[in-house]
Amino acid sequence: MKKCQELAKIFWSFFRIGAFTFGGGFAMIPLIERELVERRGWITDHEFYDVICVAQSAPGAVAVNTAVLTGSRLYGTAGSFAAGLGVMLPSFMVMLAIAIAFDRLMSISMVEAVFRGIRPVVVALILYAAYRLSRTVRRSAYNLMLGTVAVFALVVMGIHPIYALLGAAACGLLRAVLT
Amino acid sequence: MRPTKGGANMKTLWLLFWTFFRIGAFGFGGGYAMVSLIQTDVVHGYSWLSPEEFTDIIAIAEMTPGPIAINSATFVGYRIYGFLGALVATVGVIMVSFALVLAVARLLQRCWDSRNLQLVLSSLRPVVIVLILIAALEIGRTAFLGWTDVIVALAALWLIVKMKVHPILLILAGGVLGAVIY
Repeated sequence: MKKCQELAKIFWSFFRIGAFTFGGGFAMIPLIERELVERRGWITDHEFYDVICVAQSAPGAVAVNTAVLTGSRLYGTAGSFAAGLGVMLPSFMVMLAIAIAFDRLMSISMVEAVFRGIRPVVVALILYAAYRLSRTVRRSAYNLMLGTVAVFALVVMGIHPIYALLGAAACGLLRAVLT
Repeated sequence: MRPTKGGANMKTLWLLFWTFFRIGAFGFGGGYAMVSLIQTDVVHGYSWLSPEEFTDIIAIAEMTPGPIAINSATFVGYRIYGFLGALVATVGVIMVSFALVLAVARLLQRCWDSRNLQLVLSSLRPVVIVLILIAALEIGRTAFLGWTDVIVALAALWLIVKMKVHPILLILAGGVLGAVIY
């Protein structure tokens, strides 16, 4: 009985995080910290830093990774499922509703005009994401070479992004072995 | 495409799952790093979404709660195969990171301080930046229909980098501008 209550609490906490963190990814981190560290006191600030570090290194959405990790720390595998399900459910439901209404909404000329105005802003947001990431990269010859080769392979040769990522990982491994 | 009986539909579901499984598995850096992968497979590869629809989904994902990868998976899945499709694509996109993070949680109590792993991850970053820039260019092709759009994008970029304006506010402003001029 107590177990169910604990799991429900974990689920509900992450459901709230999933429902109120707009923008996804890094925008979620301060909100998650407030809920888990300050409000619930489930993990310490230091532990939270470790969780975020692993969550960012693994592939996939940072919010989901954070939820799964924290859930697992609190209550093992059952906890990670409760947390993961909780954090995903709000966006799943909202997106399902939007997908159902999408075609009907887009046929309204007003809505189409609104989205035409938004599209250039989306370009700016994506450029901003690249800018933010570029500030974490050292301007070394190695990184510059990786970037240049990636441009050539992706744009000129037209390889699939997955192969570009695998190639970069191989370079990193090689470097780790050689140095 | 509506769900009916038959092998072809199972194949569609499987393809949906497999595509988003791959996107989730290689989506290092979260969020916009995955935009390029989704674009390559979902827009160019299978034509499940038009380029305009994809741009609109990014805007919607930014305004709705939750990570962009899950938002796109749910939307595309529903488009292709109804509720079942939405479920299959969403489960597919989180599967690898879920399993990986769970496995890592058991092994590690502290951050990954392994030097080798950090070298691999930091080698991915320059490539992810290139991928994001290419995604921005691709989206620019559908978003920039005239000089007004270019000016709006530059103004938005300036506002977010220099003035630290919240992305949702910029999207709202873009929407109001669109409603007024188009």
